[in-house]
Parts: sequence; C-alpha cells; structure tokens
Amino acid sequence: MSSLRNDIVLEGALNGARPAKIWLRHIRRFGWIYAFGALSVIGTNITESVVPKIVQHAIDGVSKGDLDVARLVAFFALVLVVQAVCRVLWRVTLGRQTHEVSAKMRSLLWNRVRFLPKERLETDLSPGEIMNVAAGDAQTARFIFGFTLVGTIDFIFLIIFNLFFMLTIDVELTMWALVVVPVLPVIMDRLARKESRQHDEAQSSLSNLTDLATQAVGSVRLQRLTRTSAFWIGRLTESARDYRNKRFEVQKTALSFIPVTGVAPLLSLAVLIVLGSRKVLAGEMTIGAFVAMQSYVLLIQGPLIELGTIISEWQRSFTSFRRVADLWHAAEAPLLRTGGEATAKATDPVYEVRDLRFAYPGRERPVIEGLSFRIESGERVGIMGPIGAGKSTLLQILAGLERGYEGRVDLRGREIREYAHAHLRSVIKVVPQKTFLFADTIRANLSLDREMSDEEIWHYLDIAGISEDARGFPKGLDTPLGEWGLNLSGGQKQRLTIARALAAKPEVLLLDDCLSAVDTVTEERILRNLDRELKHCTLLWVAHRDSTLRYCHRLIRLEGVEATA
Amino acid sequence: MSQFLEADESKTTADSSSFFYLLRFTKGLRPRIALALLLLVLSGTFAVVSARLLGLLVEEGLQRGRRDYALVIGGFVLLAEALAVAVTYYGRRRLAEAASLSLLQIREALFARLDLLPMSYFDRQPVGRVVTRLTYDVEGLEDFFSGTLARLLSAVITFAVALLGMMLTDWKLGLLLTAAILPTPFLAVAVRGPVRRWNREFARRNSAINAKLNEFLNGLPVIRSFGVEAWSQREVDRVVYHHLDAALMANWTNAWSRPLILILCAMPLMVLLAVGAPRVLAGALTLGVFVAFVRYCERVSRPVANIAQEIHTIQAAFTSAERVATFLREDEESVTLGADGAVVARHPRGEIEFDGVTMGYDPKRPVLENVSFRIPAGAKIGLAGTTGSGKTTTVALLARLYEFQGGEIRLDGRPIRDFERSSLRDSMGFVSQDVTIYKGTLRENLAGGRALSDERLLEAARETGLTQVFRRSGLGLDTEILDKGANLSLGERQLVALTRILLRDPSILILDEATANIDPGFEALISRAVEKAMRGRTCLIIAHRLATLRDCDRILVFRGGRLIEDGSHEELARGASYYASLLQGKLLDPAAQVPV
Repeated sequence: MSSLRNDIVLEGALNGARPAKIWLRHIRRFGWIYAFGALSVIGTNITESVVPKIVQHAIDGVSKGDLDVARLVAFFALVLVVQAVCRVLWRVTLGRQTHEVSAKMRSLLWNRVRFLPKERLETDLSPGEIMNVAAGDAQTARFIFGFTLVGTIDFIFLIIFNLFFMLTIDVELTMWALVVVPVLPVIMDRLARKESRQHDEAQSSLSNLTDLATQAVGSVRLQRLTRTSAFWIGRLTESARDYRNKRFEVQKTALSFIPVTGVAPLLSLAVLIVLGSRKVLAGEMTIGAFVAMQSYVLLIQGPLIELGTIISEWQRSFTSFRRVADLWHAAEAPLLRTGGEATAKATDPVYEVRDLRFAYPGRERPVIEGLSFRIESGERVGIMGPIGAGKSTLLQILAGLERGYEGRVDLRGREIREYAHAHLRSVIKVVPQKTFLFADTIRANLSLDREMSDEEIWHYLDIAGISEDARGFPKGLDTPLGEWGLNLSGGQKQRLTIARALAAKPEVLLLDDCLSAVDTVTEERILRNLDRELKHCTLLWVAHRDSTLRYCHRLIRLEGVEATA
Repeated sequence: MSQFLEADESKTTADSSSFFYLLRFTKGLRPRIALALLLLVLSGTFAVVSARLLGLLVEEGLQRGRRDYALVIGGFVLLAEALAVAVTYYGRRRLAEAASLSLLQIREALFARLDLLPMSYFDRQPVGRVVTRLTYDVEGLEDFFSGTLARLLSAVITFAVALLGMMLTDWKLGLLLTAAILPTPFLAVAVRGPVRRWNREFARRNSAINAKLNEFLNGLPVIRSFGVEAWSQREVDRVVYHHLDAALMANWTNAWSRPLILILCAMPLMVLLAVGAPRVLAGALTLGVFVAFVRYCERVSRPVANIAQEIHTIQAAFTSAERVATFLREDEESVTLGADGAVVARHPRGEIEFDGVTMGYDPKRPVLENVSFRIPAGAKIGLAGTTGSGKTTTVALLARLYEFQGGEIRLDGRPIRDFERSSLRDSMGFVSQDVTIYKGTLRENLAGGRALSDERLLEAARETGLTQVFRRSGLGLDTEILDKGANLSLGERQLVALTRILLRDPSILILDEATANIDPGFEALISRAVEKAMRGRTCLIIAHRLATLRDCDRILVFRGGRLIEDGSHEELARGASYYASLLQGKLLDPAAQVPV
C-alpha cells in the first residue's frame, strides 16, 4: 500500500531550506503526479458544469417537441461516469500526497527533536510546544501538499467553465446576475477569519478544560481526604461554561454563513426573474436557458463561497508549515553528534577528575568548584551532600551527558568529551532521581532496542527487588504499564528503572537517589544484590541514609558552594 | 496505549437507550427545541413551495406569454426562498443554543460524579479513561448535536417535504423518482462499514502517534542516557507509517465511495430525463411540472448525499452517548458504601478504635486482617511498616473512602458507619507531600471556598510562620498563585497546607509522609508549624523515615496487613522487635518470621 513512502524525502527539510522552497521542490519532484491530479480536478469541473446545459437542452427540447431522449440520457450517463473517474483519480494522486507528506513530516520532526539540546527543551521548545507542532501544525501543514491544491484548482476552473457556459447563454443576463457575486468572497473571507479566530479561542479553552480534568481526576483521592472536591468541581464547571460560551460563538458565526450564502442567490434570482422573463417573452431566450441560468448562478456561488476557506487554508497551512520547518531547522545538541571516535579500554582509573567546576548557564555562582577525585574500577563510592550541592549534576557530568564544565574529567585515561555519545552510552548507565517508564510492557521497558530472553529479564528484575511484585502482575512480563495499563507505586517504578539500567549491562552504574520511595528493608536488599551481582561494575550512588553506606568503599562529600554574600 | 484502550472499550454496538437517557439533560430547553424543529419543517416546506411556484411561473407565465403573472409568481418564488433562508437560520441557531446548553448540563453532571463515585471506582480506572469520559466523549456528542443533528434534520425534513410535493404534483412520477433516490442511502449504508472502520483507525492511530511522541518527549532524558535515539526513531516511524496505512486506506475508501454516491445522487435527474421528458413530449405532463421536478431533484439529492457522509458521526455520537451514560449510571458511594449515616460529626473528640477490622479491595485478598487498636483523643500515633503493609489503607478506612468487610471502626465510641460521610471527612485534616494549590490568590487558596475574614487568615498564617515567609519573599494575601503553586517553593506550599489545617480545625490530623524531602532552609519552620497543627488533635503520622516518629506517643507497626507491634519508640527500638529491624534497615529477608 505504501510503496511511495520511501520516495517522499522533503528535500531540504533538515538543511535549513526555506519552507516555500521545500514545498516547491516537492511539487517539482512529483510533478507528474501533481499534473495528473490537476487534470483530474479539471475533468471533474467540466463535467459538473455541463449538467445544467443538459437540463436546458431537455427543457428546450420538450417545449419545442423535438428531443432525442435516448441520446441525451446516454450523454448524461457518459458525463457522470467521466466525472466519477476524475474524482477517483484526484483522490488517489493529490489526496494520497497529502497523507504521505504528513507521515514524512512527523517522522522528520522526531528525527530532529531527538537531538535537540537540553537547554532548548527546557525553555522555548518545551514538550508542550513540540507537541503543538507535531500534533497540530504538521496536520494543518500537510494540506498545501494536496487538498488545498485541489480546492484551488477546483475554484479556478469551476468559475471559468460556469462563466463560459453562462456567457454562451446570455451575456447581459450573466453580467446582471453576477453583480452581487464579487461581494460574496469578501464577506465570506471576513466570516471565515472570524470563525477561525473564535475557533482557536474555543480550542484553547477546551485544552484548559482537558488539563483541568486531568488534574482533577488524578487527585480524586487527595480531594476526598482534604475536602477540596467542591473547589475542583467549581473550577471544572467554570471552565466548561467558558468553553460552552466560546464554542457557541463559533457556532453562531458558522451559522451566519446561512443568511449570507442564502441571500446572495436570492438577489441573482430576482434579477433573473425580472430580466429573464422579459427576455423569454421577447423571444431572446429559451425557457430551458432561463432554468439553466438559475442553476449556473447557484453553481458559481459554490466556489465563491469556498474562496475564503481556500485563502485561509493557504495562510494557515503555510504558517503551520513554517513552524514545522522552524523545528526542523533547530540546532542540534553538539554532544550527541560530535565527540571523538575513542573507545574506552578497560584501564584504570575509571574516573580521574581534576579541579572540576560547574555553573549553570547564566548563573555566576558555581554548583561545583575545585572538586578532584579518582575512582578505580569495581569501586563502590557514595556521594553525600545537602540538597543543591550538585550531586545530580556531578552524576550527569560523569555520565558524559553534561559537558559545560571546566577542569578535567577523564574516563579511562581520556577526556570524557573525546568519546562518541553512542560509545559512552554503552559503557555508562545512570538511574535518575525522577523515574520514567515507557507506556509499554515490562518486557519492552527492559529490553528497549535489544532482544532479551525471559530468564534474562527475570534475572534483572530479581536483582532490582521487583520480581516478586512482577510475578503478581496480571500478565507477567507482558503487563502494560502507564496511563492505560497498570499503575505502579513510586517504589515499584524506581525498582523497574534500576532493573532497566542493569539490563543494559553497564560497566559504570550511577544511581541518583533512586530508592527514595522504597522502604529501608527493600533498599538494603537491592543494594546487597547490586554489590553481589555487579562485581566488576563501578558503582556510584547518591546516598541519604547512613544505612546505605555500608556497601561504600569510599564517600565523596559535596558541601555545596557557599554564597558569596 | 491504544490497545489497552481497546481492551474493554471497543464496544461499538450503539444502544439507543443511552441516548434517550441523555435526553433528560434537555430539561428546561424542550420548548426551545420544539420551536427549532418546527422551524426546520417550515424551511423545508418553503423550499418545496418555491420549486412548485417556479414550475407555475414557467408554465402559466412564460409559456403563455403573461408577463405580469410571471412577475407576481416570481415575487412569490423569491418570498418563499427568503422565508426558507430566514427560518433555517433562526431554527438552526435555536437548536445549536439548546444543544450547547444541554451539553453543559451533561458536563456538570459528569463533574459531580468525581465526588459521588466511590474511591474504588477510580482505583480500577486508569486516569486517562476517566478524563476521556469527561472531555473527549462529550466532544463526540457535541459534534453531533451542534452540527450533524441540525443538518440531518434539515436533510430528512427537506427530503420528506419534497417527496410529499412530488407525490401531490404527479404521484406516478413522484414514486418513480423516489425509487431512483433510494439506492443512494442504501449505498451509503453499505459503504459505511469500511469508511467508518478506516476513519476510526485513522483517528485512533493518530492519537497513538501523539501519545508516542508525548511519551518520548517526556522520556527523552532516558532515551539519551541509554543512547537509544535510533531505536526511538524506529518506534516513531512504526506508529507514523502504521497511521499512514490507515490514512491511505481511508483515502482509498473515500476515493471510490464518494464518487459512487455522487453518481447515484444524479439518478433522479437521469430518470426524470428518461421518463419525464418523453411524457412531456407526449403531452401527458406539463412543462411546469417538469421544471418543478427538475428543481425537486436538485433539492433532494444533496441532503441525501450529506446524510450518507455524516453516518459515521452519528455512529460515533451513539458510542459516546453510551459511554457517558454508563459513567453517569455507575454506582455511587451511597451504593457501594451503603446509605450515608445520619450522625453529623461536629468536632468529635477524636477517639479512634479499630476492632478486628478486616478489609480487602478484592475481598479474597485482604490487605488488613483483624486489626485492632485504640487511640485516645489527642494522642500522637505513628504508623510504621513497609510499602503495602496496610498503613495507608488504615487511614483511608477512617475517612470512609472504602468499605471494610469485617470488624468495626468507632469514632468517639460510635460506629463510623453511623456518621454522615461528608461531616466525617470534614472533621479530618490530611497533609501529604502533594499539596493541592489552585490558581488564584493566596486568600482563595487558604480559605478553600469558605468566607473567612482576613484577620482569621492572617492569624493562622502567623501561627504557622507563613507570614514570616511572606515577608521574606514579598507575598501577601492578594498574591496570585500560579497553577499547582508553580511560583511557590515546596516549603511554602507545605506551609500553606498547614495553615489550611489550622483554619479548618479538624479533630483528627493525618500526616502522610508530610515532612519527607523538605528543603533544609525550611526544616525548622515547618517542624514548628507541624507541631502547632498537631496541638489538641488526634494525629496519625505515616513515615518511611522512622526517625520522624520518635516523638509519637505510640507507634503502630504494620506488616502484611496485620498490626504486629504497638508501643512507644523507646520500647520498640530496644528489643528484638520488627520495628527495631526496620529502624536499622537490617531486615534482609522479608520472609523471615518475626515473633508477634
């Protein structure tokens, strides 16, 4: 079905080409599909415009008494068949392009997003912002690669053909009947703009409501215990009212299309009746032409009414496409792409840190200053210190994920920045403070991009002290987790996170206070397991409770850098 | 994500009883709806009248050369058309208004369920599903009521009136033309299957893409630290191309079905030409009727084609209606927990007694077994034990969040089931790590919807030390607090929660890990505030860091759903107790038996 998918490249998407250029290049590359599609739309238009002419012919024929009914019906049938074929053809060409480009756009978006630097993900390119582009803009932008083109060609040629047939009937009448017509697109455009503005407002009100509902449902237990449900329900109701009002405004605007599109043909109809009947009575026009003229006036208004929509679709799609392209062109994080080719040899020391200093960008006061230490392979080292002393930052630096430091950090005898990202990742694993599990099965969460046997998975679950819990899950290893699956407790999530890191067979394992939600007994057991099972692995962990220090060979104390006030 | 959604939600048999159930939410709006429907019938009638008049104009006016007659009839044609437009507009607007107000009432009823449904319901349902009930499913109804319904009614009414018009004008030809229209709805129903299937797949797989992207965005640190960027791209591409397949199938289904339906729409005109024209030629039919029939054909074909294209919206609306109705009809707390008690708990003394209490969320697997203890009013009691040992359940039972199967719980010597649940919960205060902070002023946040004077608020704030913090960071009662308290530190949020407790003045205070993870700058301040809040109340304190329980009068130690130890910290810490082993984190084998 999707044989074309590999052909869609959207050339220039990732190399900073201007949106219009990317669009043009794509149209040119698939020129023959677009040409064929355009011809199909034009074919549809011709056959649509011919129908009133057939009616005219029939009425005139019967009123004059000489009509070849069989020939007329056969011609009508032919017109209908050609029309249907043309309609099928534009959908399988231009319609299809719309969807194919949509898929490519989203694939390319992730291709860039996965390399974005942390700083931007925390600031202007927040997940919410990226989701807006991926879910909203990409869906809007795809139309200019297909359906909007259909609408545009349809508009132009329907007008041309209808006008042509009308003029062949009667030039004067055509002029008079169409006097009011030019006003139509202007009014429609204004209404369409108003509607789209109101629609945006309603949508943002709706997403507030959804956010609020998510929070409210997520905190039902707390609400009941703290007696705050009345407050939440009040807020939800208020938000629902706001949405209802905004949504009704949209509907009112949408409904005002009815009088506008209804009154304009009335005016034309008035002209036709007054002028037309005079012409018919004067013998300047046949009755069939009189009836057909009315059909044409109605037909020609169709595309004029759509004009506003077409224009705003171009504007909206292009604006969205620009936003998509902006994200495509966002600069990647250097650490993920650069870095040398070095691979770490199993030499000691694992880490040698000299005079490390780190300050967050834009802050003067460093979090870490003048830190030096050395860690041999297989050592177990505890890191202690008050909140804000830079424990997590230190682990990020040692993992090679934070590279904006001063001083020297050597991994197995070479500066850590000289290693390629991919290589560091195969050697070092970090278990962060904040747990994150994918909304997938336990199996998928542990194996990620590798193949793993059940025994292997159970082995790591065992070490992380979660196998007992997992055996109780409804579908064992295939139990889905997350929003639509099983809700795990904080402690269970933390233990699974550890199991996931173990399953990747690290040489260096960095644990960042990742057992805070686990009770002391279980914590003790897990640390004992880690110590026993990971003989050759170098272990560093942020330790809080004194009890967990029993497995440490050594401690690194971070005292925090005093404020110079 | 979606496969889990499918698991028990794929029910597609739309049952109309749900739909009628929801109609009760049109209360107070019914006259408006009736008027709207009447107007839509009128609009259809005007349209048909105008077509017939046009036939008259041609036949009696133009064919016979009577100019004045033609102009008068022409005037009536215009009038009928104008009235049709006016009446359609007004009727649809009334209908849209009534629909949107009914939907608002449905939403309000849904929100009220948050407080009415038992806690056990929410435990069983993933958050996402309940949110879907509250938002997405109502949207489904909204799309139907605000757009489809009116268009559908217009179409059906126009169709019916046009048929009637044709029958009255020339019933034989009318019958024939009706027969020519019929294949259109039949075809529409026939292609409904694949069209709906692929449209639904399209929407479903599209939300799967969004879910995947959203998930990967949130999990990007993990993806990065595991170096599985390439894997993430493969996963994204998998859902993207899965969606593309559905999009192309939907496109293809539309590509053949829509033109086919449009061809069929032209059938009445075709029949009119083939059958009607020869009859006019034979003099069996007047030209006026022929022209009127041409207009009828134009009027009837479009609506029928439109209905055909909206069939899936109707189907979706029925599914949404059913889900919403089911949610509204779900058993309330008053069913699962039994009738509410009659006794209003007004400032109870706070004496708590558990007498052989047994409870299981699933009755076959009890999480509390035969738990008995007595807490005198005003005592400070610590609850200790590993995760899942029964501490949290104990507290939840006290607040009547769940029903228990055996034994009795008493408050001030009276069975807890005798109390009115809301008053019982009112007499309890609960502080945890999660503090609910609303968007609004600090005043609103502290008062929590009650009318309290600024003096009272400030006095309570002074007692907890919140005022002190205000002064330091320049906050005041009128300070706008952002959603979730984003502009407050964790310590400040905690102080707000404690101040609220003072203002609510509950008899029983529950602290659930309230003081874990406090930033050092606040430690002293908060522990003082906690002390203030505990004064004069019965307190239950849950903590993993057992050191926090040192000052309790007594500690209840839970294990596997049983209460195994009960005593002061000193007593328990000394001997070879389970508590002592918890304290030292020494207990290496959780299966080891500890003598009770």
